[in-house]
This record gives sequence, structure tokens and C-alpha cells, in this order.
Amino acid sequence: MQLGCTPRPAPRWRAAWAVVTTGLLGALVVLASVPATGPAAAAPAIAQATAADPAGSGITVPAPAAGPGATVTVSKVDGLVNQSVAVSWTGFRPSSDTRLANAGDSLDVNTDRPVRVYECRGADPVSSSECYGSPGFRGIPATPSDPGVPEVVPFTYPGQTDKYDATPDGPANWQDNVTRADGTGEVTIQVFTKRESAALGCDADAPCSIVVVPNYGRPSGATEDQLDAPWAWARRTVVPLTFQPVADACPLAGTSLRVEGSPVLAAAMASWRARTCTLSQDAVTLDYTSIGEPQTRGDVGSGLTGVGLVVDPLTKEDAAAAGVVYAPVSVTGMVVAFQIDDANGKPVTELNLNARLVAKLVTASYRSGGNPATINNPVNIFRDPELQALNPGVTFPGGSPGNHPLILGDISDTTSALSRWLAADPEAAAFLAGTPDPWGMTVNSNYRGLALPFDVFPLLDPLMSDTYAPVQELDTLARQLSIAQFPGATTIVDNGVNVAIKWPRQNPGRREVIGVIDAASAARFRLSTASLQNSSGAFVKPSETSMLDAVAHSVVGKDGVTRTVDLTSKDAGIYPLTLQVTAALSTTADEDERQQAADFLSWVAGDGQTVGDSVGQLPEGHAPLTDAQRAQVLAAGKAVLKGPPTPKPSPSESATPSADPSDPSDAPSDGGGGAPPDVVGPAPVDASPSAAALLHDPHPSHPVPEQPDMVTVAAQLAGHKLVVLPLLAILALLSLLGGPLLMWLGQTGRGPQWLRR
Amino acid sequence: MVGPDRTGAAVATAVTAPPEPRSETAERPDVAPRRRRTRASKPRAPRERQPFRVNTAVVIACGLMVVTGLAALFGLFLFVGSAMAAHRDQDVMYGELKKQLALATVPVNGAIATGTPIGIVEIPRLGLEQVFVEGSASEQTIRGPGLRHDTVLPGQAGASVLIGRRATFGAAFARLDEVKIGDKIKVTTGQGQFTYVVDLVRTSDSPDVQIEQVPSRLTLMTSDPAITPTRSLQVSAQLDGDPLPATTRQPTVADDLPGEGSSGRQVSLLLWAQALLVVTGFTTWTALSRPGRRGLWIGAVPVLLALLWQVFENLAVLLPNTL
Repeated sequence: MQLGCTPRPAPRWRAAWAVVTTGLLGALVVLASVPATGPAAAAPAIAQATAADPAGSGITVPAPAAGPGATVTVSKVDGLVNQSVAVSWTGFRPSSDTRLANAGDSLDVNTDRPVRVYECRGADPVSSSECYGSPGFRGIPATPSDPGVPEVVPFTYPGQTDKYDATPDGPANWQDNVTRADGTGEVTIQVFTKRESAALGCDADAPCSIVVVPNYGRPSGATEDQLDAPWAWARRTVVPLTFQPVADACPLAGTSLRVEGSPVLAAAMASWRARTCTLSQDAVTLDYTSIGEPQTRGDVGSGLTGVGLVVDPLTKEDAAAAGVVYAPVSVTGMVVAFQIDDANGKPVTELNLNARLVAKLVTASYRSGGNPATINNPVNIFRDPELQALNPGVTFPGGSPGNHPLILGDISDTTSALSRWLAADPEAAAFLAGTPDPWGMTVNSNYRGLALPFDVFPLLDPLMSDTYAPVQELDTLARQLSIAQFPGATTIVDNGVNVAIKWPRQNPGRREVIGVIDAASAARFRLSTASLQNSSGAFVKPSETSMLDAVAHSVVGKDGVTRTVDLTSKDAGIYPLTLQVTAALSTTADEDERQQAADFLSWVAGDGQTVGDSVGQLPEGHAPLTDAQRAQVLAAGKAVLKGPPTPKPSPSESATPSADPSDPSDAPSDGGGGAPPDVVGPAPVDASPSAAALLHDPHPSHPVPEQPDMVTVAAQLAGHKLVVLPLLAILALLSLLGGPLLMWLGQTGRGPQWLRR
Repeated sequence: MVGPDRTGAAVATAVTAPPEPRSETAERPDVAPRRRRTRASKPRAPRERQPFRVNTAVVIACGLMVVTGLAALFGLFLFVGSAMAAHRDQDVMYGELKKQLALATVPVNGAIATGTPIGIVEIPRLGLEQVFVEGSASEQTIRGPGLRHDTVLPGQAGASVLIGRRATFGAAFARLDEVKIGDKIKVTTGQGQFTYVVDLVRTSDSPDVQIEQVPSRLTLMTSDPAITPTRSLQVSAQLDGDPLPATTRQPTVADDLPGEGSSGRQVSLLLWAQALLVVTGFTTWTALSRPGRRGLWIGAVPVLLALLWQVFENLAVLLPNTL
């Protein structure tokens, strides 16, 4: 086309350009109606979880240096493991404020007479340099009027390279708090054994101590930042601690029974294994590995381990392969544990939660900055009218934005149990499906329509990835909740550079962490647990009674042993996140191993069920098995000794290993495979099941039989031909011919009359 | 241009003057230079034929020609321009991925942002080496093969599905049907290098076949035949070696399925088309009200082409992700 170098009659151009625009729109319309071709795909599969309670042997000692008649009480000093102890004091000089004005790792420089509680090396530490995480004291140089005060170095330990690195094994465990006007105060401190802090090295042979240090000043300098000064240390009270043997009680020498499975039972197994090797009869050395239940199922099915601790039963195939029999081992549960200080700095100890509030927490539905997925929601759970409605009389703190929960990042049956509870609650299920709650809050839009149940908390909101961060390993999770540290990371500006760092721990008076952990860990770390609403509408605290009530009202699997809480029961006493941990025992294992497994079961059915905190007892947070359950344990012991079932399945337990098909726990557990590709069409899915099997078994050589499993890739009908492009070409060609033809007709006068108008 | 053409006197007169000393008339050498000088400023001499009149026929004919032009340009974009864009995207993503692989910062789990380059797929037989991205909707496959949101990363236990284009935007999988059973497919992700061995090459409507059930499977999909697809072409391969455990992935996205177009860019398509309309209108108006400005065209043509490019790209996203 010649472009306007020469003047032309205007009307011709006008007409041409009018056509340009018309033609453009026409082309758009044609293309916008593009038909699509191709097959459709299948949906992904997902899987499931449950909760507990705390206690101790206290001691009260006089604290003469801290004030006349002053005393210090420690809730437990003997036979400690990694756990929290409560330390309280009376008769101390009152602080100048009702709580410390510090946040995270900073120190309060305004409040006078705070108190610090340390865990220190040795029964009589000589200075605060022996105490884990102590920040040290800078010293005061001498002047003519002042003799000066020497420096006190931070925590020292063997192998130290940086004098100021006082926390070689993670965040400090010392706790600061104020003394109230009546001279009393208290903190809860997590006691580290040598497993948690090698630098401190506390164990059965190396005692440690709790040291309570008030800072009254000299009299100046009576603030938190100078708590390591010699004048404060001089007023200390020392309470020696002794520890349970961490790992040395039953060394893994000679033959031992390999047990693996549910981390929920880790503390109980640690307690049991320190006792079972010293029994006068049926002694057994336990070699326990804490791994997720889904993987345990695969390991039992493939014969990698003879004893696996699970919550949900094995698949029919796996159970049949190993001739599995089941025995209940413990009743415990998942709990929503928390450390929350109210608007006045007092700890909140009672909290009522319903399934919808928990659903809000685990889907990152509280507002975080300008995240459009949650923009219309309350900024955190404390400002949620629903929480306030369920907990009248509590003055919740303002709280941090988002305030995401501490939840487990692993694939776990405990998560499945939690999600089944959410799915069974009509309000929570409707909320997750997208229905706003009565106050207008909606689920994080990335989680809308979340498939239930799931066996791992899904991470679906990229904008929340910094702060909504599940923690891997149940033990790590519980310890982080115990030191009141938010999950994920925060960003600080360091020398003009953005640096992501872990959140600092929160201090007494300003704590606001909520997490989902097991009942035994909550008891061990003295964490408050929330009362959860069950199907009857009642709010029930996790306790021995409520968990046993849940066992009484549970759905028993087809194997006759595994149980899940009956979430339809209207019994008011049920704790909804109760778990029965069940041992899956292989009858195809070696005879030696089966004999040991039977010995272990006889321990489980007998002395192992005494609840208490000494070696060999069932830790707090577990409920002892009922008589009926113990009978099942003994029956399983006999079946294991008897060996593999005969080819003709007998009506015994061992012959009916599969779970109830209606039981939701049967299906899940694959965790990985995701949706099958539509390569396979709707027919038996190709990679998904095998992917799942592999997840369970790190050594695929075992279960993969000689004959490879085959799957069918089904034919699919061809779709419609996609004809947009040819149509477009034809249209272009027609226009190319039609245009000049019309022009010619118009110019020569051969065409119809209207062409020449 | 015009050579020593001694016979075409009339042509020479009309178009340009031959500097021909042996012309038939003596005045020619004088006349021709003069005419050339004055041509731009003088109105063109009226034509011999009857005067050109704008009537309905002309308007419709021009419209049809514009449709032809646009369709041709769109075709040109699909089969030439889009490939340039895709190659450029591949270069950029390759550089980015190289850096991230060196720093070990390639995302391998969690919620990976859609469109992030996450690995490289190579098929030695085809000489194919492509950076693949998270998500396989049409918006993503215009840059390179895309990994379906609901399938695991290659190398992990489970099924991975990569969807690529057969004809346009670089046509990464244009020769996928030439792959033979037993060929190797190499994949590099943030978790390492993995080798897959092809055990299935088929179109979706071929008869049922049996394949081995394996822990980790990678499937490449595109459409077949290239321009007018009716079915999908699938190349499936099993991992040679032990897979890594699967990480959490995202739910199924409807646009991710092979052969689906994406409606995600309809708004930007509308806005770009409006921009094109406005600029076209403005240019037309200016051309009519102030005729004879070369500058207008020098300015408007690149802008119009850029706008057209954007409209075409957004339009192409409506087409299936495997085309």
C-alpha cells in the first residue's frame, strides 16, 4: 500500500481506514471463538491424624540472698529428660513494671529488678558464663570514685571459636520475667540434655542446675541488660538437677528388636527402651527409629522392619504380603497447644477452639500484609470475633499479623486425623469450601475447595511462604513451640541488605504462639492445651478420660484393632483428635525377631501401661490401654509367635489384615504420585500407585517383583479436528481473491448496481 | 533500476529518465532531470483512465484486503515471529537457570511460582534442549515446555508430565514423533540430573497397550498432527535409577491439560486490541487532516507493529497449549 507521500482524494482514505478497523475487529471475533481439543485429566489423591496432658516432683529451697524469707520452687529436679520445668519464686523484691518491655532478642533497659532463670553446667556454677546462652556483662571501668566492675564473658564451652557466640545449639533457653508486687513470679524453662545442647552437656553423669538470678542493682544498673553483672549473680539461688540416662541405659549391643514408626510415641519408646533390657524375664533391647507412619507402612509391607508403629492400617496388599497382625500400643492424641499472654501479660491457660478456627489457622487464612488472598480477614486469630465469642472474658493481646500456627511439615497420620476432624465438621468443611463464616471471614482463596482429608499440610499460598512454614519433625516442632518461636523467617535490614533470619523467641508476658503437636510433647513442655469442640458441640480438653471416651466411641477397622475416632458420635466426652497408636507386626519375620516382638508386646500389655515420669513408665499425655485393648495386645503376641498364616486364610486376626474399605484411612498414604498423567486415561493409573509404593520403601529392589507390574494405557477417541488455522488461511485467501474481484466489478460496471453507490 | 532499455520509451518517461545519450530525441536528457526534481512538489498528472471513485465495492474490497493482511501477519507471527520470541525466552531462562543451578537456588518444592524455569530437558536423538517451566497452560508453553502443576518434578517418585508445542512458538516438540523406544531423555532440575529411558511412543487414539509400572515416569505430550491436531502424542519414559521422594505439589489446573487453550490473558488481549484501535484511529485521523507527512508514518508504523505483536501474542494464548 502506498502511504501518503502524495495528496490523495480524502474520501478514499476515510473509507479504507474505516475498513481497517472493521476488519481488525472481525479477525478478533473469529479467533476468540477458538475451540480446544484434547483429553481431560484425573484428580490428585491425598491422605490423614490426632492429641494430650502435663506433671512433676517439685522442690522448694530458700533463697536468702534474694530477700528475707525468699524461696524458689522448681516443679521437677530429678530424672529429667528434655522437658520444661516451672520455676516460681516468692519474697523477691517487686519489679518496677508489670512486664518486661522487650520483644524477641532485645533486652529491657527500663524495668528495674527483673529475674532471670538459667540452666547452667554443674551443680554449683561459678559464674553466669557457665549458663547456656548468657549474654555476658561488659564490665565497668574503674574511675577515681568507683573501683569498677570486671567483665563477665558470655556462655563458654569447649570448642568455642567466637567469644560472643553464646548460643551454639540454637536459641537460648533462659527466661526473664518480672516479680509481681507481692514478691512472686514464675517462668517455665525448657531443660536441655546433652542431646539438645552438647555445649551444656547435661546427662545422668553430668548434673546441671537451675539458677535464679534477680538483679537488684548496686543499686544502679538493676535492669535486664545487666543481669549478668556480678552484683546480680551474687544474689543467685542454685537448684541442682539430675537427668535420666539419655541413651546409655540399654546400649544397642547384641540382638535388638528393630521398631520404627510414629513420632507420637517417641517419648514413650525412649522411656520403655531404657527399662525393657533390664527386665528379669522377657528382656528385649529396643532399637527404635522415629519416622512417619506412611513410610512405616511401606517398610512393614516390604519386610524392612518387623514392627511398625502406625495409626492407620496398611493397605490390603501390604498387609497380606507381610502377614500383618495388629496390636494397640498406646492411646494419645494431637493437641492444639499454645503459649499466649493476654493483653495484660498474664498467661492464658484455657482456650476453646472449634474446627473452623483450626481450619482458619492451618490454611493461613488470617490477613498478612496486602496479600489479596486474605485481604478482608482479621489480621490474626486474636482479632477474630469467633475466637472472642468462644472465649468470653479473655482479653486477647493485639498479636502479630498473620500469627501462623506451628504445624508439622511431614507426611503423617496425625495430620490425616486432624483433617478428618475438619472434614467431619460441617462448619469447617463449608468454610474450607469457600463459605464465609458468620462474621464474613473467608478461607485464604488459595485454599478454597481444599481436598479433604490430607496427610500433609499443603502449602498453596506463595505470598505466605515466609511466615506460614510447617516445621519438619514432630520433636523439633514441639521444642520450637516450647521456646515460643514463630515458624518461618522474618526479614531484617542489615547494613542496607535484606537478610532473612529466624524469628527471635518470645518472652514471658508477650508470647503468642499456637501449634498442633502431640499430647505427650505438650505435657513434657508444660504447654497449655486447647479444648476442642467435638461432634456433640461440647468443648473437651485432652485428658486421659476424654481420650479413653474417644476410644470407647471409635470406628474399628476391619482388622478388628485399628481405630479412628467416631466423628459422628454425639457423645459429649469425646476428645476428637484422639489417636490409637497401633503396632503392625509382621508374621513373616525371622523367628528370633518374632520372639522379641512378642516379648515387647507382653511389656506393652503389662507394666508399660503405668502412667508416670520415671524410666519405663508411659509418659504423661498418653492414656493407658483399656482391658479390651490389652487383650488384643496379648492375642497379637500369640499370633506373632505362631508365625505366618497358612495359605488358606483362617478366621484369625492375621488372616484379615485389610482395613475397612469405608474407612477413610485405607486409601491415602501415597503422598507423592499426585495426579496420574492422562497418558493412562481413566484406566488403572500408571505411575501413581507405584510411586506411592516407592515412597514407603527406600529400597525398591525389595518389593518390585521379578515380573514387572504392568498397567494398561487405554485408547482414547480422537477429539475434534482443530481447524482454526486452516480456516484462517482460507479466509485470508478468499479475501485476497474477493477484494480485487469486487474492485474490478465495481470499476468496470459489471457487478450489481449497489456496488457503485 | 531501469537499465539501458532502448525500446521502452513510454515506461522510461513515466517512471524515470534513462541517462541514455543515444536517445531518439535530443531533448530527453534535459527533460528527464527536470521532471525528477519537480516530482515531489507537483501534483501528479491526471491519469488517462476514468477517474478513481470510491464506492461500496472499493470499501468492501479494501476491508477484505485488510483481513487478508491481518491473517497473513498473524500467520507470519505464529510461524516465524513467535519462534523468535520463544528462542529469546529460552536464552534468557537458560542463563537464569544456569546461575540458579550454580547457586543451588532452583526451586524444587513448595509452591513454585507459575512460569518459573525449573529445569532442562534434553533428547539427544532430536538434538532438543529446552528449559521447562512450572505450569503447562498456554501462557507458559509459549516460553518452553511446561510441567503440569499437579505432577511431581522429574526425578521424584511419581508421574511427571511435560507439555510442549508442536508447531508454533519455537515448536519444541515438533519432532517428538521421531523418538524411538529405548531413547534417553535427560532432565536436569535443582535436585540433579536424571536419565529416563523411553518405553512408549503413541498417539492417544492408538489401541490399548501395556506399560511397566515404575516408581518414576516422565511423559512428554504434544498434539498431533501439527497444524490441525485431533489427538495427543505421548512419549513416556521410565527413570533409570532410584527416584527421590516426592515433594508436595499443587492442585490440578484446568488450563494445564494438554490441548487446552488459556483464557488467562483475555483482559490483556482486550486492552491491547483497544490500544491498537486507538492508535489506528489516531493515525488515520492525522493522515486525513494533515496529508503528506512522512514523519507520521515513520512514527506510527513501528508502534502499530508493536501493538499488533502484543495482540497476536495474547491471541495465540487462546490457542491450545500444544499447538
